Amino acid sequence: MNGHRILTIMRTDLRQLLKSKDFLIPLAALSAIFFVILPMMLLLAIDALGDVPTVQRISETLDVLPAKAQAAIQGSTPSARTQYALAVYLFAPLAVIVPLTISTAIGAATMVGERERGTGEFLAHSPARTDEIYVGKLLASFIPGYAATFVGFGIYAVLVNSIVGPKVGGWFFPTNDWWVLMLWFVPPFLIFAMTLVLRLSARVRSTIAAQQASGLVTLPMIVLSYTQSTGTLFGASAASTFLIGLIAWIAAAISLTSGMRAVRRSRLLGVAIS
Amino acid sequence: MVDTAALVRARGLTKRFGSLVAVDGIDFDVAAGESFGFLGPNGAGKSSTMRMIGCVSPRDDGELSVLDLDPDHDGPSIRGRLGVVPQEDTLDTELTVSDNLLVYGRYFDLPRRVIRERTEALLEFTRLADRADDRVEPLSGGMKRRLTIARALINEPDVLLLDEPTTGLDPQARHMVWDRLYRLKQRGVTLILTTHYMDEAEQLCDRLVIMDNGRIADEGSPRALIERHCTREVLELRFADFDELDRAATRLDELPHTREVLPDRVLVYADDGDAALAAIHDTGLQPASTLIRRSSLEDVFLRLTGRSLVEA
Repeated sequence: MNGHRILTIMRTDLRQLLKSKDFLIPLAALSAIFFVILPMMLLLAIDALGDVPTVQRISETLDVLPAKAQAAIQGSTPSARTQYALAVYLFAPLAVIVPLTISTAIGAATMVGERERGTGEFLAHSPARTDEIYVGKLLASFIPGYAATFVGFGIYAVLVNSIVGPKVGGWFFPTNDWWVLMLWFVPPFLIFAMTLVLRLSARVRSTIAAQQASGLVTLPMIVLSYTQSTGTLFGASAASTFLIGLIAWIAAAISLTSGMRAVRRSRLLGVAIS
Repeated sequence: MVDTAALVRARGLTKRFGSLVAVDGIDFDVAAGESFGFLGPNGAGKSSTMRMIGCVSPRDDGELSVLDLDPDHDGPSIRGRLGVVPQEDTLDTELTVSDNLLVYGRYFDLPRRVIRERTEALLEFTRLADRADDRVEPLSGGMKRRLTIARALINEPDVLLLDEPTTGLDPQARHMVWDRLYRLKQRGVTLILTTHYMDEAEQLCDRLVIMDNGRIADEGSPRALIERHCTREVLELRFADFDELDRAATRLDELPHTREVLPDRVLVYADDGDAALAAIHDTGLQPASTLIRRSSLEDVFLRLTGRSLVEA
């Protein structure tokens, strides 16, 4: 495979995305809801309520968490412990949902969109091989979702550390487990989902059909990855985290390899369908 | 006959879409430096043939070699040496004119410096230098077509494939495109083009094949095809109404000239149009209008298929 061509394909798609308001506005809105609005509403509400009985009861429910997670919760008051738990265990697994949602939306349109815009013919006639097109498109879908998650969590980290940090002894987020989640866990799940979405995009007749079909594919992926992410953040053993992550990486690699063979140049032209 | 010097060589080339045979076992050779055309109506199999040559649609049967390579195995190498002007302009409308060339050049692994130099030269060649920094969207159809041609030349291709290069353009824009293609031809660039315009084929093609229903009806230079299938001149006769046209068609049987009856006129093939018209007047026929013109590839197509390119 030729790296230059992959990067050219990726950059071309990313540049188009960055110029598209139809992409940027929903991206900003989704990120704002998950990383700013919802967390802030909840954390500030607890701040405002203080240690009232309701918050104390919520704090008591933390007892159902695994012992390792309970031990990690910081804060001396029920409200501080509740805020800490929400910040780390409720919102942080969104690290999986947000990139999957964003990348799926992009990936679903990427192949079929070329055909709909008529630019598939240009790409098909280029010297780029189908596997290079596939990987370039996959990166162009993967990067916005992954990057948006990092940026979103950057903002999230500033906010939660500002609100909750003073009550729990200072800067606490991101935690070590969160880094493991983002660097070891999220990428393979995201790549695996994108390989499936790109295959769908290469086969269906319209972007709408691609998005509907992709939603069905990624929903189970979101549920699966959310549960696994939560387990990681709850302090699953290093061995099990490594093993599940490794399985996800292997599945992603297999799916990526077979996906490369699924793209046909004639499909980019729409010839196979017509 | 095997032409070892051929850049493109096809034997029994076949393309099917389900039960539809789009290209039905055709043979042709394209030599280096030649300007070769596929002439035929929509659905004749021209674009399918071009896509097989362009290594974007696999053949279903037969042999095909492009630049002495097999499209099934050497697609990327072949595509790297081809320039393609598709039927529809597939420019990136969000980019500027020059950026369209700069981005496409990156697909060919060309150094940025080389791409920049070629971009300047190509925009000059296609008379778009003054629009280099403009966005593509507001350009006219003719300008977009010329930019598509410029983009196809960024890798200095051995063969330039042009699929209906002037379809949809106004006459002035068409002539501008023809002029640029003619200059490329003079430089020795091998051109392979499809068209359903006879005048385009006559202007640009050294040699062409006439395609109909996926098959090649005949092959040769425009002049050779005309001489083989037509007389030097064609007399077009129009009549006041259809009844008179029918009666005239019967009366014309008495004359030795070959004729073709179309829904709106009768074509009479003759080496001397004036003499043929005088003979027609002698029969008592009085056409509403007459026109004597030189035979064209349209007449060749009509003689070969029984249909005009337009109605086909």
